[in-house]
Amino acid sequence: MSTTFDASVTGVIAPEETDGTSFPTTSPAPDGAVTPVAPLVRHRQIALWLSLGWIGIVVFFVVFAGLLPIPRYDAIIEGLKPRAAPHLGFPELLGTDTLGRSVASRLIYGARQSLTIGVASTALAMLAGLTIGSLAGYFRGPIDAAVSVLLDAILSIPGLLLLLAIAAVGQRNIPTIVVGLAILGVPTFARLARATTLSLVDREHVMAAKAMGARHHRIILRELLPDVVLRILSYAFFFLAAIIVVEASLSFLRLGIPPPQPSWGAMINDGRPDLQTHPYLVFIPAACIVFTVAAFTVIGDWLRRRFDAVSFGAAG
Amino acid sequence: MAGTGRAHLRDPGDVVLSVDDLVVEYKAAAGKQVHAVSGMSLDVLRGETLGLVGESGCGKSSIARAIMMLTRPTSGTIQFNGRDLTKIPSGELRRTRRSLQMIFQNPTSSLNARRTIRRIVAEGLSINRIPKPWDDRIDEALLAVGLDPSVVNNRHPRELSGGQCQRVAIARALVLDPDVVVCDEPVSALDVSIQAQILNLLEAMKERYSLTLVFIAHDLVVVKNVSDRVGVMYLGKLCEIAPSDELYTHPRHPYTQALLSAIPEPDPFVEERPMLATGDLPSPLTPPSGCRFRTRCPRAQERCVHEEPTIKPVGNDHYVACHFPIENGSSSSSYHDGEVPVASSAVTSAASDTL
Amino acid sequence: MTSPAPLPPSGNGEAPLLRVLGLKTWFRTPRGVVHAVDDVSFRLKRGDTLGIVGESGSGKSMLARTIMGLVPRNAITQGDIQFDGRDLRSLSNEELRKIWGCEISMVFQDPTTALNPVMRVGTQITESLELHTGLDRRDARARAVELLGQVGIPEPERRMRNHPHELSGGMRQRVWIAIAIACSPKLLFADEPTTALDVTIQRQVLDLLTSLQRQNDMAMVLITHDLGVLARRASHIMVMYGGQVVEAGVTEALFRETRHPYTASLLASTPRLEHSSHTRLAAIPGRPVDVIDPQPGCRFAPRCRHAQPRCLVEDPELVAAPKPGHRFRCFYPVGTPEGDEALEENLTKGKTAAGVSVRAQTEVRT
Repeated sequence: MSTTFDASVTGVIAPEETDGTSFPTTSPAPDGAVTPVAPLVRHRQIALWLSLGWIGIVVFFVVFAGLLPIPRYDAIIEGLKPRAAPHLGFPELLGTDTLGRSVASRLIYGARQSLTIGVASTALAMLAGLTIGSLAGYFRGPIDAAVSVLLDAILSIPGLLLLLAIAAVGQRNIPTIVVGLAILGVPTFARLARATTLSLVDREHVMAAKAMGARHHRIILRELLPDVVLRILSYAFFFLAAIIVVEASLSFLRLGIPPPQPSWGAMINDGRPDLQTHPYLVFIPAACIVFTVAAFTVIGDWLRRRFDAVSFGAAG
Repeated sequence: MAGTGRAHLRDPGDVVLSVDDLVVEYKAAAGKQVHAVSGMSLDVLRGETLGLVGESGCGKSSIARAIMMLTRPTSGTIQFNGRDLTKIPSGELRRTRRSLQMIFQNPTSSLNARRTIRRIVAEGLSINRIPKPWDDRIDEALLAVGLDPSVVNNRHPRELSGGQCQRVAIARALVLDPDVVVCDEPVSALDVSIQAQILNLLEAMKERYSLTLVFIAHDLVVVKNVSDRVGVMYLGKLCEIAPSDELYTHPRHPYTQALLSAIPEPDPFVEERPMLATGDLPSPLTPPSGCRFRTRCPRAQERCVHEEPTIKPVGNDHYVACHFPIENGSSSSSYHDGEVPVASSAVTSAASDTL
Repeated sequence: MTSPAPLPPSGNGEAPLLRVLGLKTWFRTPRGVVHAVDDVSFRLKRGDTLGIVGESGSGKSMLARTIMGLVPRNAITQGDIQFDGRDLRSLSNEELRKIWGCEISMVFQDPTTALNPVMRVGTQITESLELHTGLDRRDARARAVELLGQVGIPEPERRMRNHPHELSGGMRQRVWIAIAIACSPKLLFADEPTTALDVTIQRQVLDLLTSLQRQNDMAMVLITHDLGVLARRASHIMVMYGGQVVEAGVTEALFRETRHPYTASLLASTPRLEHSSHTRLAAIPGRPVDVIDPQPGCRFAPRCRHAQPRCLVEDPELVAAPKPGHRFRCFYPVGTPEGDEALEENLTKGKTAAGVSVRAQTEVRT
């Protein structure tokens, strides 16, 4: 049936022309050889778990602070000198501060303050930014113009000055500080929300909803916001990390919540004079700040990877 | 080759959707205007399938969006079921949308990735506050498009193939029992073997639900397969419109002929058709003066530079917008009836109009 | 201006320019091992055009990318690739760099991703020329202008100074072709080079490629999903499905004596200009799937009208058809007594061995 095949002719090579010995016919992927997991990926996973663990611990202490058998943050500890070094025996794990108060409980109540302010201002900034940004991106036109002017106005004020002004003029309580910090964050959230909305509003499923007669609020809430929120979520964690630092800075400068409320930043400032002799008074709260900020950043990064990948994958 | 003219419009009594002197322009970057649609008029009879074909920049997608009022036309009217969609209040427009549905080009992105198939199909019912129960309507729609409700109900679009997603999109449109369905390149993103399935499906659905279709595509052969009447668009204008068999066997406009000649001949034993248009498509930012096709037309003359042709009948329900239409009887020939492109200077000087 | 007829196949004992043996590209995924390319072997002679046609999941693009070494990191590849007598898989990166862009070139679907958006068009061409041919700046510029003219870009001197985004899609593709042929490569891979372009531009670009081929005696691998495009541009065609070659042969034989049911279905399911409107198309049921951990049996069986029980359990091999070089992978091929009987049987039963219902399709006259 087949004539002698000219080996130079273009075309598929028939099985009988190959002698089968020049390459193996068995599966190229033997079961044993597993492609090694790229070391980078593993190290990111470890970082993620550590971060989640740390935040978990912090949240636990923040939530259950009142129930824990720890002294009040402003109570002087009997039987221990001030500036006592941390030691592993009971009763004070982390020692005492300059006034003899428990460092551990001050840390915990300080965490409560940092986290409360941080989460509240992030949530507020995100809510406000999301609303005005997505409305601007969806409706365009005069609403977009007005929003741009507003955002530019906020951005034109240097952040720290704004905070100092608020701290100087307003009361130094939690609501004021939360609002002040939130204002700092609104422009970026709004810009992100606006940009994401703009990129999504031309998607076909949004147009399909419009074509079926959906009203604006339905389109914004059901077709756009879920994706916009996911994309912003990662930035929310970065913002949260930054807020922790800002709040600590304010307290360090004695512009935050006044004592006796403890704060990590204030604890650092308190411990400053004794840096040479009792360094742990500074380093322990500083370490807490560092770990918390790092943890939130890692989580934010993971979210960014996860959700940006998903949203691109879903479209493709 | 203008689109100015209404000669090709038919008796308003049978017309379910018509578009009159529609203009769609929008701003591009740096203050320039994109002339997407420049004064097109069209009509669709009840139960007809109107095909619109053209290359990029011709405005076919823009006109689809304009008809659906997804983008507001710059001027012109859109008559649907006796009402002018550009003038009615927004509440009434929303209510009208039930009867005017659309199928999009990219099947997966036209469905919300977070929803299940069942909820996607139910979307229109929910938006239009159709009284429940909906289950039968949804099941019927899914079965009609060839999907098994029990299998797809709780799936998400990413778990389905392109062809299946497009079926879901069709079901979503059909569940509202529309009068007219505008299909914007519904099969372009699908594999060849799936295209045939979806085209057959659209024909079957049209029969079953007594639909009127507007079918927009860049693939001439696909459009011919589905349509009763085909209009050819170029840079926002209508060149030619005729019943589909008539258009393809006796094209009268040079652009139509060029499009047909560019189709690859899928038979190794038949001579390839000679290619009849040269050069690149001009940009819709700066369309050529007079007849917009003159920069690529082998028949262009001095007149084509200054005067925009209007649509004129050439018999057989066939209308052309051209100063020098091809004589009847030639289907794949070039300008052998004596016309020699005199104004070659007009043609080459306009070549710089291209991007 | 007609496009040139495809070169007739000829054999004169000359060694093939490209020889691929047993090429396999597999991917480990959470769902299993994807057999993107499964044991493909072919040869290509200098100056010939090999058309590869298939749908998504067929492996046609992955085949080209494997030969070019552009596979993702989690791919496992195997096989022998010989180009001009050299084993591509054993060459060092240094040596490969000399070959790629110079002796072997490629043109893909989307010119926007291939061209550097911040570099002027002229610079992109001269850069390649200077790198591969050692021309000095002035000579490279002159040659670049010449190339742009060759690919049909009007006012080439002016275009040299444009950036890619200032050009239309068709022009960008032509610029890419200009870069690709700048060093007169011996082999060009064109993977869906015109799919994203308008019909009139498609025709121009394909004509351009064919004429460049003739001028430079360049071999070309033209990959597309449109069998019609290959009818007059490829001398040989390979039809791929599920990672395998299911039919291959000289173009005329493939069209006139189609053997594999998939090829026949592809030809029957595409609408034709000659059909009248509202012709019902002979659609292939089901959809092309990614081949994961394949079971024994023909991969097209779930969609094949001829499917018989044997097709579900046994892997068909590539066997020869009467015309030289024509091979197919089927137990019950179209146009043979076994195939006709199989189809008859399925039509009577109303369904295939795979359980897909069939009914008689009216023969569409072309």
